[in-house]
Amino acid sequence: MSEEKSYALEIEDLNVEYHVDREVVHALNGISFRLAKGETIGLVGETGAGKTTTGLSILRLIPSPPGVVKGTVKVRGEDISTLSEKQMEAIRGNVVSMIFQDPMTSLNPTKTVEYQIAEVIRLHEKCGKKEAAAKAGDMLEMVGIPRDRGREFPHQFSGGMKQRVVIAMALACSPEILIADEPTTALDVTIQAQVLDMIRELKRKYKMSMIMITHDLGIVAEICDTVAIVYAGRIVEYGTLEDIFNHTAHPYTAGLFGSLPNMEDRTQRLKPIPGLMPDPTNLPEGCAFSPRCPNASEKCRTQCPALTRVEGEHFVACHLFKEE
Amino acid sequence: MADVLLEVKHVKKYFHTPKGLLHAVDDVSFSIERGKTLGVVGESGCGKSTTGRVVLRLLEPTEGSILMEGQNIAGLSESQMRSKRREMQMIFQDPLASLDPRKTVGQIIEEPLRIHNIISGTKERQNRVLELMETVGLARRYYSTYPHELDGGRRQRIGIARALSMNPKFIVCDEPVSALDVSIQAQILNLLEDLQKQMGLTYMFITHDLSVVHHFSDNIAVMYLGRIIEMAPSDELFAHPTHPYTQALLSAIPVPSLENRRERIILKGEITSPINLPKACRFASRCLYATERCFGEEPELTEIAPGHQVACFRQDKADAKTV
Amino acid sequence: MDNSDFRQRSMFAETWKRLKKNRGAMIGLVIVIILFLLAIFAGVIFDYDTDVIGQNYNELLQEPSWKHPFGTDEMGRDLLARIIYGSRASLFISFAAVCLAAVVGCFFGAISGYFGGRIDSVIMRITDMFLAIPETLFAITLVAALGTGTFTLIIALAISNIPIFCRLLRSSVMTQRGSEHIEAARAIGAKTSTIIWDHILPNCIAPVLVQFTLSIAVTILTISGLSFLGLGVSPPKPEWGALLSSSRSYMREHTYLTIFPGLAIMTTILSLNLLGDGLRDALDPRLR
Repeated sequence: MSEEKSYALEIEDLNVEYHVDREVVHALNGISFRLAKGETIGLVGETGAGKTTTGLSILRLIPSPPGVVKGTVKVRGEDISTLSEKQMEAIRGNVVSMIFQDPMTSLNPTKTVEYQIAEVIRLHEKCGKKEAAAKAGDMLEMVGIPRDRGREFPHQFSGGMKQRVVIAMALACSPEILIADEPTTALDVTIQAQVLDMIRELKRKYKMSMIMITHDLGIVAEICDTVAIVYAGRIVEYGTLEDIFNHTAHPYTAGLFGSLPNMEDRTQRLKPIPGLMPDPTNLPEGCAFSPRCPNASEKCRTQCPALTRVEGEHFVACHLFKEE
Repeated sequence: MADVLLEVKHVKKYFHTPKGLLHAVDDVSFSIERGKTLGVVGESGCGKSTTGRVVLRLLEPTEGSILMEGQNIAGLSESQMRSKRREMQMIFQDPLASLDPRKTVGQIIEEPLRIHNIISGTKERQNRVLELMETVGLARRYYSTYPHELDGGRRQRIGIARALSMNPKFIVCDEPVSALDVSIQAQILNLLEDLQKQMGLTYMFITHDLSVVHHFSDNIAVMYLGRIIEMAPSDELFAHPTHPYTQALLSAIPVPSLENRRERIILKGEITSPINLPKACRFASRCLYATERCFGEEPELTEIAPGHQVACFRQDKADAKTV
Repeated sequence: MDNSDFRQRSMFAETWKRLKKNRGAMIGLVIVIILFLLAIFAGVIFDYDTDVIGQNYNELLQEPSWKHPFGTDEMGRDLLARIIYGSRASLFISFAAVCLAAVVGCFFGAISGYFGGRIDSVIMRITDMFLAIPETLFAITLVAALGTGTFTLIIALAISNIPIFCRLLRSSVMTQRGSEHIEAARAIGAKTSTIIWDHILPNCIAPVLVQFTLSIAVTILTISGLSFLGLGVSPPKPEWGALLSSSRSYMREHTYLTIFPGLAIMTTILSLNLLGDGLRDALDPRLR
């Protein structure tokens, strides 16, 4: 019981399929991980790997139909599939919040920024308009925007400022879990640095658990404690920062590192992963990475490897590893 | 004397906007040697893409000259420019938007060959297209597919094949990999590198991704609000960034490694708009070392080491802070 | 090298392939074709002088029967014959008017959209002027001034449709002009005319086609309305609106007299709209 208590989020064998036009898109194929309180996990992968789908399933926001969700998601030890829509609404934004990639589309252009933050607060907390507005002002200050700019409209803000507003909205009800879906991808490098700095600060201050969805290993190195590498809807490698960065086990993870330019030696040639991400409607048999893997064996092409422990909390789903 | 292919001198591009004159590119000069790559970096709105388009005269420069092998192309007539375009090509950021959605892969790559009458026979032209597709790593079976049926990496290969079809000498690459996934990014960067070696191409590589530009370029120009504020050979720039903005920019790169982390310089504020600029250093309002002088006068690019130019009054101060 | 596998897919064949998959559009297309065939071969089925305008006082206001499937009107004329002959006027006038409007409108719209600036302002102010006048009112005025007749009608209806096409093409040309693939075409050295013909117009055709079918539907209605007011096609020549108008006084006792012309108008418009929507989707290679 006490052990269960310490997890903010537990995901067990999560499967998501979309049934479209007689085709089945296998978005997630058995994702499991647990997130301890105050911990940050990085979900790393390329477009279509299923990172965002994972985030949406935690909020039970997968449209159904066409989506079919199997597996359990427990928030604070409670299975969300058993909750009513009303109970779920109380969780969204209040216990679990999500920040989306594009700050431009997450804000209503016709309402002032302060109003939009206050709206979230009033939705979850019993308080008057004035009180909510005052709290919205506090939130703005917290993300580094002067209080009096709250009466402005989203279009009067720059991209970085808008993302700050979105973050303020997500944090308005002090959620326990924050899902950040590529929060800085749309921003410039120096602004990205500002926002990341702020997220890290807020996380420490409020002891939030966080899921950082990103494709950028640099960002992972900066704010995550544990990392899950996602490929074709499966976690192929899971471990601490140290495990993933210094004791890379899965060939896909190695491929991701090889694709990045070496800052120490610019003449070193990049080592891209050959081929493309498999089509989620038609996943290869066996290990989904085997068609692109330089060391794939016959076994890889027929059997799907399970996540196996390497050492401590470091897991990898690869046949080659077991054979070593 | 180095073999200079392209020389850009005091190029300016202003746009008239309802709010005032927008200085998109403000007195930019640089040159690129044959077979080399100039990386142009900066954040959105710094004028890097506009510079690339002005160099190709996709936008008319307001002032300045663009010398391609000594010939000023800013003075060419419309039709002279059209044939000059065979030598100067562009690869676009968004491979889907830059390909006509109603044309098949074959038609897209073939078009330049037809326009410039490079190959006249239909059959010969088709063979040339297939040959180009092979060069950029596109399987022949995609000849009659539409770009939207392919993935981002393949689309970008189409754009590259189209640019190559005229055997250009110079290619402006405008963020050619920023819309792509990391593993595909590396594939395309390697392809561009191989093509450069094989065909002796000269690139102007525009990007906001500093680790990519470091890897890919021989020289790097850092732009801020329409100006080049620092320019140096790639390794020199990364080893001794001198402008406070360059320092902040480099320190902001999230490094995908647990060791050798840089100390981060967090800049205050954001890039201002290049409309009605005061006579001052454009970075002064965000600069950690700005003095009275920085707000009253605009610094010029000056050489501080061989090939390393910087536009800052406070180099001494900046130097002290080695990143 | 064997290049037989690399034949280019033609735009027409591709569009047709996609259109075939759309059931609604195919039904629309079949009905439109039938209507056209009926209009063209009306003379073969019926004799104009005896069946269509020949009055027959022995068979006044007869209910639908085997002899007269749609019944007869107050002059004993077969309603089916009059509706089929009436489609000639309705379809011919509306197609002619809308074709004329589309050609002229698209021409000015393309110029306006591509070149912008002063030319654009002038063209747009003129279209604004015309758009401010309701179509029917404009047609009434023109017909009243120039007298009734097919030609005046076509001109009046065409003029009131020009601004619609002009605006439509202008806005799609403007979006296309700013798009990156046009810049790419300039970058490879394409001429302005090539850019307009090869890259901009093919990408603008879809909304024009849809508007074309919609305009035809609206124009048929307008013609009917004008005929109803007595300003359209002059009697005894049949026209759908005129048929409706003349049967007005018998509406209570002889409902079929209004139902059948009304159904004819409705079917035509519905099938044109179905076809138009289907064409729009079929013309976009991105939707499969």
